[in-house]
Amino acid sequence: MIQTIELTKVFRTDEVETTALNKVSLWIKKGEFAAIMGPSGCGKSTLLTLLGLLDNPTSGQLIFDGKEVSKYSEKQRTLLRKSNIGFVFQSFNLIDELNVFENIELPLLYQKVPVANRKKMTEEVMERMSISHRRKHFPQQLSGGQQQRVAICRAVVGNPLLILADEPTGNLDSANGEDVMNLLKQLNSEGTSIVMVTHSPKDASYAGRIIKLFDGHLVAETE
Amino acid sequence: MITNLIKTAFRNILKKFGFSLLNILGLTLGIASALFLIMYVADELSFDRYHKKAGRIVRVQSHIKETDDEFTWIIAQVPFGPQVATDYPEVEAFSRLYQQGPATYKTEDGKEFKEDNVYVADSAFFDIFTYRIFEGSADKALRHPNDLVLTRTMARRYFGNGPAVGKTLRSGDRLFTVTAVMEDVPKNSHVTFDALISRVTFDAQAGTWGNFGVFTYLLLKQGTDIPGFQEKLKGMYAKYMASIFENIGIKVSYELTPITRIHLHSGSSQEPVPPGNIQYVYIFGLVSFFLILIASLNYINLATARATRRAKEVSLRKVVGSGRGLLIGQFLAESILITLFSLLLGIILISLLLPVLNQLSGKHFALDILYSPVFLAAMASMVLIIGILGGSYPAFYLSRFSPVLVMKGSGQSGRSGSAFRKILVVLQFVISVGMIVCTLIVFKQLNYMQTMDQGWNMKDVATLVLPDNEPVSQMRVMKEKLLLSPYVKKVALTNDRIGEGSGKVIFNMETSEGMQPRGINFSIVDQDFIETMEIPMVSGRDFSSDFMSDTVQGVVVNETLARRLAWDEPIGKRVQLGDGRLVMGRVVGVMKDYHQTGMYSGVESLMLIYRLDNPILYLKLDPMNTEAAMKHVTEVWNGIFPNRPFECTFLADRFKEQFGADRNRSIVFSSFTLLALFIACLGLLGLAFFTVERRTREIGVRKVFGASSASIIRLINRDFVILVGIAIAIALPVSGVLMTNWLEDYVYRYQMNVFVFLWPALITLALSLIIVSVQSWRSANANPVDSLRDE
Repeated sequence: MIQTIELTKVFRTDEVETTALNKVSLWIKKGEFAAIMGPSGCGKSTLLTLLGLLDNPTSGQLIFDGKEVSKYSEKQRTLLRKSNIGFVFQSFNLIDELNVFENIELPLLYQKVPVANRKKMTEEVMERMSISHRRKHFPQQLSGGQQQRVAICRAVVGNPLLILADEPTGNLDSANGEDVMNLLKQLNSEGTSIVMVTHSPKDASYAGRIIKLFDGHLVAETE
Repeated sequence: MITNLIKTAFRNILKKFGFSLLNILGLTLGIASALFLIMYVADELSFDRYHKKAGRIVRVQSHIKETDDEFTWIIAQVPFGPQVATDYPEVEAFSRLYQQGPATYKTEDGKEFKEDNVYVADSAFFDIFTYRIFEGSADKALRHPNDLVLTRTMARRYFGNGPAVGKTLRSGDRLFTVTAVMEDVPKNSHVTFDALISRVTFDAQAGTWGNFGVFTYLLLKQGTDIPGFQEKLKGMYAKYMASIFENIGIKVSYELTPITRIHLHSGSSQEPVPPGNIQYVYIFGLVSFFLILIASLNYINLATARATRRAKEVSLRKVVGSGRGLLIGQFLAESILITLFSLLLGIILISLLLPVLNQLSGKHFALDILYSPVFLAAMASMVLIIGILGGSYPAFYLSRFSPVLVMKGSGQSGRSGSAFRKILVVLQFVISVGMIVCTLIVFKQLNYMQTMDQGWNMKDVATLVLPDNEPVSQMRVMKEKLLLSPYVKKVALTNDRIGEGSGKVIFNMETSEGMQPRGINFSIVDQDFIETMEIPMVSGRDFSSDFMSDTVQGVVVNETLARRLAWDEPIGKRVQLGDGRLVMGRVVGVMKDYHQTGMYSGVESLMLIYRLDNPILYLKLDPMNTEAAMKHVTEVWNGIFPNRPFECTFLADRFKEQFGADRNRSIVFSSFTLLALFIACLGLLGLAFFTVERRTREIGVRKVFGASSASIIRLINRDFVILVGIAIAIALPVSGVLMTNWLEDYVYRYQMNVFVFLWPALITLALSLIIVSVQSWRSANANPVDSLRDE
């Protein structure tokens, strides 16, 4: 599904050059649930943005669904991303001006899904994630757990091959956190591949494989 | 604490330098242009107020009422002044004032100049009007025959820097003695002159109650009720004029105009100096208010937009114990500081641009006007008003932030603020678009008047005028000599400049009720005038040298006159011509209406009278050989008037001059319109910048989920286009109504069409779209990762 070969990302500012990722090679298989762990600043989130085609690596190769994409232009990446990858963030990143339904519907809008289908798909995913009763509410009116539930709906509504989650429980209490992890587990069992960055060993335990990073290097993989 | 506030204010200004620059630039332009407009308005309002007794001085105007017409002259009869002073105790002093024809003045040692701005005044002139006297004494200056008062400039022209009083100047057969030297008449006077001759010099010219011809000024006693006194003056008609006018059905009454109202309210084309117009004072006052408003709206707008960025600072200050009052103080201090700085820049800008602005506006401002108390007060209040107005909304808005809310990191809100900002943007653009439409219509109107059919053809027509003290018959000699050149097509003689007015006299005209007196405009012309000016004849014939009787009896009338007198068959109708002895004239032809009196008034009934000798000569040149023709004209002139300067002007150039005042004003107006638009665009730029900044996260999310750059640009632009669209929708009808009103003052009106509305709308829309797109393009192409990273 996704393979990285010696993937490297260097950030440059005027004076400093920081190597966030240093020759990381790994392979995520179709239907897998992988957790990336490591201390703050080890490069977890950078790896996630590269896997999510939000940015290009400085060097190395990134193979997505059999295609080498590391040199793709922004336009090509957007095209590939919008129909194949869903995102879940620690701080939810819902749009305040849109209500629950509209937030979830957003990716379909950009995939140019016809209006009738869009409505059907959005309804379905809301039903499945038990958030239908909140459809007219705005993000500010929801609890953190509910907001993350909406964010997950938004990530999966287009039936992506891969979901990338960046500390999805980081802003939630433990009950809500568990709730979210169960949801992800359920999605994975239905066939969606998931890559999740987390600090929490408990969350990591939901994953089938744990990838450990330290100072930009891949240090361990445990099944 | 104060130092802390000022320090933070300074640092904030420096920290957000780009933002501060936008603010300061907008404010500077707004303040500078408002200052200039205030100068303009203050100058217009200052006319004739420099006289110490200005409040008690009135000018007498005569209102003439005929059976079928009425009109007002800004002059009275020669005997009126002395008589009114004798008859009415309300009058403390009077002075008549009238212009002498151009004449040459010569010193004893032979220095000679032509003067065309010399007036005659009564001895009380300096009791009424206040002028500084540099030499001699005002009391005795105009007492005796041949007394002459010079302005300083004229005195220097003849006598250099030496003394002038006591010296003599010769003009024709008169020898004048200089009795005083006065300051030059200030520019803000409704009448200006270079010298005054004592009225007793011309005592022989007593004048009658039948001819009107002198400006007459009265100094009224303290506390005189002007309308009441005006009412009392009605008694003069029965006493002095009824015997002349009663049997011909004419009534004369007098109106008293306070001199401080003449410049802005007269509107008469007979004023010695082209008058101003109170409407423009209102308009410019309004424009300066708008410019200040737009500039302060900008400030408010940008400052509130930035509010969210400073929310953290506000809440932190609150957490460590700052009260709301102190925060409000801080923001106000900041905005007053910015305004003060803008004012300084504005003053520098005005100082640099003053020559250009003077040229644009036709004024003569000097920089010292800025240091006058009125201006210092205006500037101080401007700083306070803009500073407080501009600073107060952000101050109150920001200081309301709850520290808890902000520290939680969710203090992104500011929705109410955004609605408020939108209203401000709409308001700014309503003003700018409205001003553009108005400017455009003003230009269209001017252009319309300049290009509309005058009824006569000014193309390739040049003008020569008989020099003073030369026999008028010389012009006929000149005409014959000019025609010897093949390049001079036609030559005509007349006594009134075409397109600039005519005389008006009461003639006895044939009507269905016999011979009746009627006030009729008339001009005197020779047999080639109608043909040279290409005025079409409607019926009958042009004057002709083949008919001997034409020179004595013939008149040509225009269509309006024929209509006014209800002449079905105008040819042969009788007109009593009072040329010393009474002669019965006959209408020989009817010409098409043409504009003898200029484009600011309508066509009036007009009669052309045929005489061979006239002082003004029009010559139509061969356009292919103008140079050769002019050479011939110069030679002929120098042959006939060897010692007279040759002055030849083209009618087309002269014609444009009548629109000068309007053109100047519209240039001033349009310059400030562009400025207003520019300032509004600055505001839009700033707002777009902050909108994009505020929506960074949203844009990031959208991009992560697949939004293309184009769709992001559309998203951001749409909001602004809607705002500008609303502004346009409000501005167009409002300006349409305003301009329809404005156009009603003109006899010949430009017909508004859809384009004068469409173009401003499209241009504004396009301009704002470009400005906003620069910002939205930037954000649409930013990397979403940067905006979504958790802090």
